[in-house]
Amino acid sequence: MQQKKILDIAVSAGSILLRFGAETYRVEDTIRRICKSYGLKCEAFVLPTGLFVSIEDEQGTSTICKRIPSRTVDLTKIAHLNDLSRRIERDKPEYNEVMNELGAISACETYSGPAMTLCFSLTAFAYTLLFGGNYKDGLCAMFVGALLYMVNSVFSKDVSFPFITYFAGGFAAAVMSSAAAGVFPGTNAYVVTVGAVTNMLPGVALINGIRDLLYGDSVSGLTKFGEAIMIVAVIAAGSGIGLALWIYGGSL
Amino acid sequence: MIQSFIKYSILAFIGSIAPAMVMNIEKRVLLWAGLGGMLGFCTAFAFNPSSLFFGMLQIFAGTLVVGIYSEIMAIFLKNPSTVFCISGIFPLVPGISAYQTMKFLVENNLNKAAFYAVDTALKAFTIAFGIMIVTALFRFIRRTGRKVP
Repeated sequence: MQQKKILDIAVSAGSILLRFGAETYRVEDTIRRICKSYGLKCEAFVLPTGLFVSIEDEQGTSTICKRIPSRTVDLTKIAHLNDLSRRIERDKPEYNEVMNELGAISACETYSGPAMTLCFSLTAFAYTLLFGGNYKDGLCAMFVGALLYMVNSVFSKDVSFPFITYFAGGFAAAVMSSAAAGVFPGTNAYVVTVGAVTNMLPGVALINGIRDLLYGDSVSGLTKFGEAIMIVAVIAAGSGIGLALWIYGGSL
Repeated sequence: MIQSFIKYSILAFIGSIAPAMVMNIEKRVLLWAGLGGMLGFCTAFAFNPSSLFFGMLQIFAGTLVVGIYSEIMAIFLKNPSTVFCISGIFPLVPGISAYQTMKFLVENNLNKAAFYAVDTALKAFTIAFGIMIVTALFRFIRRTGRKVP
């Protein structure tokens, strides 16, 4: 197979992995393994925001640099790509077959909107109770969580910069929890906010950053760590401003 | 006590399958991922059932259980172990401590902010370290197991 086609396969697979939340070492390992199974030597350099792959053989050297604009976590795509890379190693399939399969993986379906809304409200419910709220707080948090999903999907559709989504989410969660506490006396607005905001907190991103650090990928580890801290700060700022505005509005 | 144990394990089950669905986990492994989260949380909770504010040792024990569970499930269900790991550690992750750190910083309460910042950092490192240990152990076993025959 041609050098260019192999490079194309390796970069497409790597960028899907990176875009959907795989660890850095897994991305580099997959790219290296794909190239090796077609009998080429390659160098892969993976950052959280992009990747460089370069292949060298008797035809010369070629390099591809690919930018990854946004990242989410998608466990199905990671699992399918893991299977595909094993299959490439074993059977060495043709270029078209692999590209078709990669297309199918990046187009694989996600859960529907109502299911996601339900997930957001269930998460809010469970964590409100785990943080010491009573059942009344939990029910309020379910509503706030469902509304939070709508705010999230409105703001993440047309993102000029990603942090605005988190800011809006924190702000909306604080305002809606305070409103709920006003309507149903006896609910603790703070616990409801905390439970609802758990949906957006980057706990897993924080752990993944530290895991990258422990694996020795210091650049991407520190980047993910810093990004997680920024996200938490933005959410806290949003909810702080929301709460302050609500109190200020109430005192007028 | 048994009652609260059951209540919290159900909550931990919900609290790990709902975020896992947001992260688009396969339907085939959804319930197994939730079971992992429940086991990890119950291990941590069993050490000190009087409080939900876990200490380092509890979190470490919970993470070890989640890690071992996800490596075993990765073999049986043919999925990378990360899938079970990420959803399993969700109830243990100190997201809320991180949020409280920033909240107290916003409120200019530096004493409490420093307390929660140290708490967040230590717990996050504990979880990452626990997963690392299990991964390294299983990789070691696989490698030596392959050499023997």
